[in-house]
Formats: sequence, C-alpha cells, structure tokens
Amino acid sequence: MKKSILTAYVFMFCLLLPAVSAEDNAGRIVGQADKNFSNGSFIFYTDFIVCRPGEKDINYSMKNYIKGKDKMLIIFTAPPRVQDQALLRKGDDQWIYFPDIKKTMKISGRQQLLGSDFLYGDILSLDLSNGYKASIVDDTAEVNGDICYKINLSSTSLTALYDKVTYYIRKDDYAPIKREFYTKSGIKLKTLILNNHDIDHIPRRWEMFSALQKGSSTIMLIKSIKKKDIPDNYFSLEYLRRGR
Amino acid sequence: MVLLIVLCCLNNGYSAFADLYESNYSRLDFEPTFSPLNANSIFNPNNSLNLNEFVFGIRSVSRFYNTINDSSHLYFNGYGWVSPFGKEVKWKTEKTIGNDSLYYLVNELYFDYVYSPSIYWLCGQKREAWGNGILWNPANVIDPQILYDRPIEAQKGRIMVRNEQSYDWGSRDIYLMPVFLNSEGSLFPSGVDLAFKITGMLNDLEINVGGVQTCLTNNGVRKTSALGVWMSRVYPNNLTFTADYRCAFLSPYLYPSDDDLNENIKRKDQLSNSVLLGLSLRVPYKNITIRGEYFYNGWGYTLQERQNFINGFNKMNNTQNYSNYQKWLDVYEPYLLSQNYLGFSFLYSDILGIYDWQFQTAYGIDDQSVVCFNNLNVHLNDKIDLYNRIMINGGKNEYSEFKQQIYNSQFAIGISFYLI
Repeated sequence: MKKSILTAYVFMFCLLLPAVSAEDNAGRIVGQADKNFSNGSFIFYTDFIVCRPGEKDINYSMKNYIKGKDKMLIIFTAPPRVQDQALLRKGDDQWIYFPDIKKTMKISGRQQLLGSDFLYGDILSLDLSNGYKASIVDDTAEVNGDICYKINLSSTSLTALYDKVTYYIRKDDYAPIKREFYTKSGIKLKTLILNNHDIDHIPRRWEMFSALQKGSSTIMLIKSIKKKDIPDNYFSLEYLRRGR
Repeated sequence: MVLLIVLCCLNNGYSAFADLYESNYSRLDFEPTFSPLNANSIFNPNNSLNLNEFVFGIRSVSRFYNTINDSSHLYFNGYGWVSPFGKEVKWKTEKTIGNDSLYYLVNELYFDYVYSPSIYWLCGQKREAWGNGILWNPANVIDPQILYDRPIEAQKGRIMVRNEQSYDWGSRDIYLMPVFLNSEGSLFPSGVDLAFKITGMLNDLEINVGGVQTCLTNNGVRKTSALGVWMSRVYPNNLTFTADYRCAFLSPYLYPSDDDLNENIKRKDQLSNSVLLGLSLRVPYKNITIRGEYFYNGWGYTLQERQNFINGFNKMNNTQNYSNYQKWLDVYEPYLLSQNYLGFSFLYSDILGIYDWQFQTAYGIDDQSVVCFNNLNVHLNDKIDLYNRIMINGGKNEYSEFKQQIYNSQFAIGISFYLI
C-alpha cells in the first residue's frame, strides 16, 4: 500500500516537474531581458515621433529618469507647449503634472500618451516580468535573422496593461527584440519593434506599430544615456509639483 | 525674499534640481475679448457701477521661468489689460473703485530655492492649486478660484513664504501668507494666514490635507479657519474617482452688521461643509477625457435665502449705502450662491496634435441656471498657438445664479507665442 502511494507521488511529481520548470524558465528569460531596462539608475534623453499616414510627423523630446524597476520620471522638453509636463511612476502609482494649471493628476497606465501609439504604461512600466504568467512557445523563432525565444505572457493581475503579450527575446544575449500586444479575445492591438541595441543590450530605437490604424506608428529614439545615481526624492509628487 | 536670495548667493544649495526641469520658458498671450454686460446683475445692481453696455479690450498674459543657478529659479506671470472704450469704474456715489481702460497686474512672481534633497523654500507671489476639481475647487482653502476664473493660469496668486519638507511617506508644507483685506491702500498686512498641507499615499489612495488659520489680526478683520481634504484613486479601467471636502467657519468679516445684508448675519458662527465628487473617464485609444462632477456648496443659500439676500441688495441700492457691498464682493465673490451643482467636462486632443477642444458646462440644480465654456486651441506650429474662448450664461428665470453674473457672455480670440 505504502509503495503504491509513493509510486503515485513520484509519478505526479514527474508530471508536474517539466511544467513548473518551463514556466520558471520563461519567467527567468523575461526577467533577464527586462533587467536591461531596470538595472541601475539612468537618465535617458529621447526623441518621440508620432507618424500618421499622409501627415507631417509630430516630434517631442523628453528626459527619462529611471531607477530600478519601479521608479521613473519623464519630463517633456519640447515642443514648448508641452515643455515641463511630467509623468511620474512610483511603484504601481502614476501621475501626470500640467504646469499651466499647476495640477498633478493620478493616471492609469492604460491611457494614451500624447496621441501616440504608446500608452503611458508602455514607457513608464518597461518590465513585463511582473503581472504576467510566461510560457515559452518556441525557442527557435526567427525575427530579422535573430534566433529568439517566443514567449507568451498572459496577465495575472488587474493592473497589467495588456491581456496577452507575445515577447521575442534574442537567445544569444537575452536582448528584447519584439513585443506583440493582444486583447483577451486575441485581437492584435500593436507591435513594438526594439532595435539598435547598445553594448548594454538596451534598444536605442523603439517603434510601435498600430494594428488597428493602418500606417500609424510612433518611434522613440534614445539619443543618449547617462548613468547617474538619482536621489529617491526625484521620484516624488513634491518634485513633480516644483515645476513652474 | 531678500533673505532667500542672499542665502542662495552664499550657498549653492542642492544643485541636482536644475537637471529636472528645463532652464527657461517664456510665453506671451494676446487676447482681444468682447463681453456684453448684464444690466440686471447682482454684482452691478441697477448699473450702480456705471459701466458701458459691453467691455472690449485686449488682455495679455506674459510668463517666464528662469534658472538663476543650479538650485534656484525665478518665475513671473503678469496680466495686462487695455480697453479703448474703458473708463473709470465708479459707484453712483462717485467713489472710484477701479479703472477698466488700462492696468497691469503681477499674478505670480516667486523665487524658489532647493536647500537639500528634502528641503525646499519658495518666496513671493504664487497661485496654489490645491484640490482635484476642474469646475469647482472647494479644497483650495488658501487660494479659492471660482467658475468664472478663466483662464485659470492667468489668476492672481498669494504672497507667501513656503517651506516644504519631504519624507519617505510623502511631504509636509508650511505657508505664511500676509492678509491685506480691510486695509485698503496699506502696505502693511492686517493679519497673517498660517497654512499647512500634508500629502501622502494610503495604499492606492492619494490623500491630501490642507488647512489655514488667520492669526495676528487687527480687530474686525476677516478671519479664516478652514480645512480641506482631497483624494483620488485610479481604477484599471481608466476611471478616476476624486473626492474633495472643505469645512470652514464663517468669520466675523463675513457678517457686515448691515440689516440689508441680513442673510449673512443669520449665518454667524456656522460651520459650513462642502463636498465635490468627481468621476473621470479617459477613453482608451482615443485622446478623449470625460468628467462629471457633483458639488455641494456649503456656503450656498437656499432659494428663499437667496431671494431675501437679493432683496437686501435692492434696499442697499435704494438707500445708496454701499459700505458693505465692496466687502461682500471681496469676500463672497469667490463663492457661489447656490447649494447644488452638476458639472460636465469634455476634452479632446486631436491625434495629430493640431488642436485641442475643451467644453465645460455647469448646471445649478437649485435654480436651473447654466453656464457653458468652450475653448479651442489650434497649434499652428511649435512657436504659435491660436485659441478661441466662449462663455455663455443662462438660466430659467431672473433669480438664476448664472444669469445674474456681470457678463452675459464672453467671446475671445487669442494668440500665444512661445518665445524660447
């Protein structure tokens, strides 16, 4: 009797083991890829270009302050009509500051950023290793000549930005290559292509293509990155409100 | 202010601040404005102010923000008005109360100084924007703005010395603000408002508490005792819920001992409570924000009280005793007269960033009065915006509050230059 119970346990353990370790492995790969965005303390200087078919491109410039996984501050520097507008993420909370009316407003990451194809959360929460359940669906997927892990992410948290994400991560160096975003029912919303990776595997060119509006895309170019120990106080409502 | 500037020169302070915001910003607006006046306004009973039938003029707002050094800045916001048809504004008693042909006001002029990562000083005149409200802002107990203060960024701030201290959990601000009411023409304040503000997070809820108490006053001067609490919470489905609350004691200044304004006298020593509830929806994948607000105005009158009050005004006008009227305007003008309001705002930003359109309307539940504001901004290029503002007042009957405003409507076309 004891022997048969033990055999059943061993059998069940063997059945579960590959599933658990595959999920862990997928999560580990996503964590490794996203570590590039959240490992340390940086200032990014970026250009943000909204492209619409048949229309003149709209250009914005901003400074992004990043510290670890959960602190980010973005300040718009151009054009003048949005100058000093600021976005803050601290943990799960996000705010926007409008200098003309001197108000901060708490925002949801699912709101659209400046009429672009990015949501606030797309640039404030770069890390997909939290809030999603990961599983590898292909480990030899090819994207523009790179062999990648193709990982499906499904949301496990109400605060997750998307219901489903397909994430392509280069096998060689865990560099993030592409993200596809879907609704719960599987309708594709948009695709983020990440390229021009630097020596730290940080993509310098981010291009978001809308799947719902043909020809619509938004490009974020990281012009320069400065490593700097940013004080924690920067990531506070008080600093946000100290603008003009 | 002099002390802070000296401090700034002696000590470079904490130099990281300048990294955050751009060092310079400068903007100039010119706005030709046309406003037909309301002959039956309670703010101008029987045209006691002897005004034209309309106001036409050009208003200009100039703003600049300049870095002095790595830890301090200077900000200026001035408001100018020139009117070809303007004239001296007088009571029928010939007392001059202003001039609407030409004037210039400094709305904001302040200097700030970052002493350390957690200590910040500000000195000068600044508009404070406490609270979550868009149409009403009851929680702003130190610098109340009313529905008609449009554009809000061109409103006058208060003179203050402010100290902010940041902590891990949030921040604490202390304000010292001179009070100049009832000391017409005097350079010396008649009292001091001492105020505080505390901001912190409680799980997902952002909570702010602010209070003000007038102290060191001369006899008979307005005293303010008020507390504001405001909070907001965002839900994952793009909904934002906000709640603002104000409680305030009415002060002796608010009850001029004048029988004609007897509705005020009855209110002595009352505590008033006001509440603003708001719900905003940002439409996903569209640049559209929709917001609804309900405002219970604790300062407001019932319909009967308001009619008595207006009758008091008429008596005042018959006897030509305006001694308390200016006080009433100074003190009550920032506060609406009814009790229950609904508000609706719609904001649309063109996906290409070419124009923004904002429509706001407020409805007085008690007296069926309505006011609508429509703003359209067209961004011609990176340096120039064109805009149009329209305001229309209406109401069911002559007692309707928004119909009693001094302007029936207002129409303005403006141009903004971004100079830097």
